[in-house]
Amino acid sequence: MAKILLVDDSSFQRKNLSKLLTSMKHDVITAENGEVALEKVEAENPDLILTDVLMPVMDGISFLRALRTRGLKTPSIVSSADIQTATREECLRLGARAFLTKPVKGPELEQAISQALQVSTRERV
Amino acid sequence: MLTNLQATTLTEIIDTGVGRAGSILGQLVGSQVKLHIPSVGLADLTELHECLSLADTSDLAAVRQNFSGSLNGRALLLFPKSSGDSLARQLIGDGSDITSMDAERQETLTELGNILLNSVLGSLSNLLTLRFDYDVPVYAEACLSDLLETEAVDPDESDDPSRVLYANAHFDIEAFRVTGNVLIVFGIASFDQLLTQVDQVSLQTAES
Repeated sequence: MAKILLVDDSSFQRKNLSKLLTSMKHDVITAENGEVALEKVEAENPDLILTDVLMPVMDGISFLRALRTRGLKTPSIVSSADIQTATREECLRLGARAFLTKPVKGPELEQAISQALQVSTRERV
Repeated sequence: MLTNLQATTLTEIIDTGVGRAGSILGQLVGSQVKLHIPSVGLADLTELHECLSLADTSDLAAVRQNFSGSLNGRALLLFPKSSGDSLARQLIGDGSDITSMDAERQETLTELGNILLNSVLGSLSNLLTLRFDYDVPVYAEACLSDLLETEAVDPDESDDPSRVLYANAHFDIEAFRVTGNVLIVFGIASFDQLLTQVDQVSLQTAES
């Protein structure tokens, strides 16, 4: 279906979310922080990014900011344990299409991915 | 000093966050989580273990997350090691010997701590209109005093760095014989800011 770049410093989350995304028939590539993710966005050209916020080296907010700065238009969804309103607002302001709270539920993730990809297709047409 | 109203309001606010965390934990392990009413108070770091309902504070598994921003402090998810093993086994979800997968066990508990501690702190942040910046959570196995450390929780605190405001919530998952605590420790320098916001909430509650 789609090539999704999953960005999370937790190997537990990378394993579980990869399994969930694969069950939805998506191809999954992973990165453990924003810095590695930026390299993979440029090298692999994913259809969508699913990123955590709190990560070492480069956090999710810095990653979203860097995507903007570099003019990279890959749609992104944030999945974070940080439930603060300000964090959500900052991520959405930086262009995230959705902000999901961990633990992420399958149907919620599926809907967010579907909507993000639909918008992305419309924007390209 | 904490007034009765401030203690009550803060307890209710922490209870909201702990309730949310307990609900998430219950979903993750597929079992009911029994939550106890949180306790809130002032203590010296060296005496804090007396305020917690932990039978044995000498051999704990913990996820520790420092925070800064509106308030400085430290949040901990604490278990006896046997409870940590039991929880990790439930979350990883296979019959493997959990102690032989040390890295996976630690990663799993770290992420659990990330979710639960953020749930409590985030609820506090949203209810009190505060803003926290979080350090990456860290897993550790140690006695309680080592986990708390005797250094100042608040780096800006110069007077009595060992005195803290704590909020503690105990929980049980009977089906898996898991017992644990969520403990939040605020530096004294964060007091005024925290209590000002708590007073605001009390006032809004009284007016509504």
